[in-house]
Amino acid sequence: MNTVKDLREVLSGEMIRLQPAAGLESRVLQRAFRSSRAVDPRPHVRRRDKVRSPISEPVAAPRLMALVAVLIAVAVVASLVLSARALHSRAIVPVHPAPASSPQMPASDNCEAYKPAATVPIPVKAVTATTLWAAGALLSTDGGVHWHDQSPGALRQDEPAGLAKSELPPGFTDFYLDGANAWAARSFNYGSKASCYDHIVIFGTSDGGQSWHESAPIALKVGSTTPASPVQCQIDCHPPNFGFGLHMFFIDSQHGWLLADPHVGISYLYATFNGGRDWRLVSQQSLVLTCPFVFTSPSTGWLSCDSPNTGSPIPSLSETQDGGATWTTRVLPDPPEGCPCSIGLPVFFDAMHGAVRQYTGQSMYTTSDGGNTWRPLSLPSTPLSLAIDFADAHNFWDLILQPGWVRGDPAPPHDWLYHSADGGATWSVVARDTPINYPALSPLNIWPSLWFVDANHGFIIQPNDSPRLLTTSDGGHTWTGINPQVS
Amino acid sequence: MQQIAVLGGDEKLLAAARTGDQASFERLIGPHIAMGYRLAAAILLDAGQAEDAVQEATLRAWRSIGQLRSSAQVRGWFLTIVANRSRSMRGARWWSVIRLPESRLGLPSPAEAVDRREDLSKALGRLSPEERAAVFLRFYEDMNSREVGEALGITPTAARSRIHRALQRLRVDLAEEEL
Repeated sequence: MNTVKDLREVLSGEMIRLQPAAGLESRVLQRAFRSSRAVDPRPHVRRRDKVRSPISEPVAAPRLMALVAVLIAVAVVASLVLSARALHSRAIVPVHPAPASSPQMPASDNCEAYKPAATVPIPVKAVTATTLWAAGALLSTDGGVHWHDQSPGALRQDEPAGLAKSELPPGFTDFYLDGANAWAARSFNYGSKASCYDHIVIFGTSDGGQSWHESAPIALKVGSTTPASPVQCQIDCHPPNFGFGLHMFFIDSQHGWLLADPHVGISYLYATFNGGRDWRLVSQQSLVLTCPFVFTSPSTGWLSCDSPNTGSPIPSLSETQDGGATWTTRVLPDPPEGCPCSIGLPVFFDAMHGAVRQYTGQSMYTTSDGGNTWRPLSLPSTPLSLAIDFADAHNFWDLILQPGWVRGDPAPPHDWLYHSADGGATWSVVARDTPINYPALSPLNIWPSLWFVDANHGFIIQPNDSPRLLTTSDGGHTWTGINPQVS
Repeated sequence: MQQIAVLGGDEKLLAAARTGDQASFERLIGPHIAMGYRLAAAILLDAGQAEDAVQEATLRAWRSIGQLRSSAQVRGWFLTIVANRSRSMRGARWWSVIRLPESRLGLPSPAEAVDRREDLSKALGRLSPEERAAVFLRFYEDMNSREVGEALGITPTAARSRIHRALQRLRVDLAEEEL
């Protein structure tokens, strides 16, 4: 039998082993203040979605009748098989029935103190040189000059009057497939007294936000596991990151996934096969998970949870081959500089070709066989890579701090832009003095976001105290600032 | 100004922090960052992730300081945010398992006491993160059950129950200590 003294000694030993580097308090506070002023506290992860549609080609008319007969037979057999499996499987179950009551704010809420998170739209998807989506379903069709709020009215139906429109609802997430198809999801409270939020609702549009459809609310089991204290509700009601942790990804206008983390130790992955109108539970995990993911087909997906600030001894990604029901580890080869490694979220240009960034070193990986094998490649040498954009399978862009610059140099560093036209094999410098003006003194947690829609046209967020959107039409040689207007 | 003048020291700091004064926020939250880090480390068992968690928690605290009603609640309020962030980061990988540090995977020591602590250390690593957090707050930070519950967002009774269950799993003599 152990003693309490033993336990205290073991705990002390653990704390010594896990002791942080010196200067924790000032480091944490300084980064927090800087991050609060940043446009996006995490590196932007491009959600590339140019994947082949899984929808079959139309069937030729002369063979239609025979095929229909075969399909009916297959459907009958499949139904029997699936019914039998459903009796024994907990992997796929329907969502909970819709609640009877209307959404309401938690009683302990105090949301009038909300302030806008940013003063300018934050682009998250550049469809073309003129069509862009920004967080919260803001759409621009003139290259980022004018933005229109296309979000559904029901998205904010429970919020206090006067809440700034530039603030995002609790537990908000969104996904933009192209200029027409977009989805937004958020947490709602439909009456739970034990939790700040108890449901998720997903809104979808296929006409660029002119009209939206709304899913049945998905109920999450929250109350019985961890009853929320008033303090927690105060925290959880603060957007944009509180409420449930949500991530969403669509491969086409019909097939998508939603990952929900209600912060009670279980995460739920849902899938839709009709554009977000109906969702079914694909899997649930005992671990908490708020990590981004991508899918390249209805069955194959990739997920990465590596923190850009820390590293793992083995570079790896998580992958699924059954639509998200089960996930396994895909170990990648060591990068040229070795590990610790922090692998980002892969970008796939089609079902076979993709690329992914390695954050803790100057390297990246590419695949040309759907992720079965990954090839490590070196990036341009730099003290810090600020933003990488994989525009297509050939054209990559890397924005870096001036090579050779070290902290303490009297002159601030320039930001250099590199371009690769051969999928990362070779790189050439495009500009040695871009107007990004990255704040180099505290590099962590403040990152620009870079998008190129073709070899010439691109956008970047300038992450200063007053963030600006910059645009180029000559492949990054020159950049022009935009003063966006929201209506 | 008159309203601030009648407030106590920490209440003044809170009032100033609510208006966006960084120095006041630093003085209010700064003393709790180290404890927040230790709580995150106890949950995550990883120094890098713990710093990430306390970093994000501090940012969230700064953004939502307007919702903290009293400076007397600041420690529990901040630890709640840290615990929430640590929970969110706990599944750093979908398939992750708790990895024991190398020092705990070596050959057993010939000394019985050392052996016992090695076993206890391993058992601690096998606790659920929620149980580990409760044990850490109770026996390392010397918090009472009410304070443990406040930090973890559960009732004092639930905190006592969680600690009791964890000690049973750790095979720690419960008779020694009043929970």
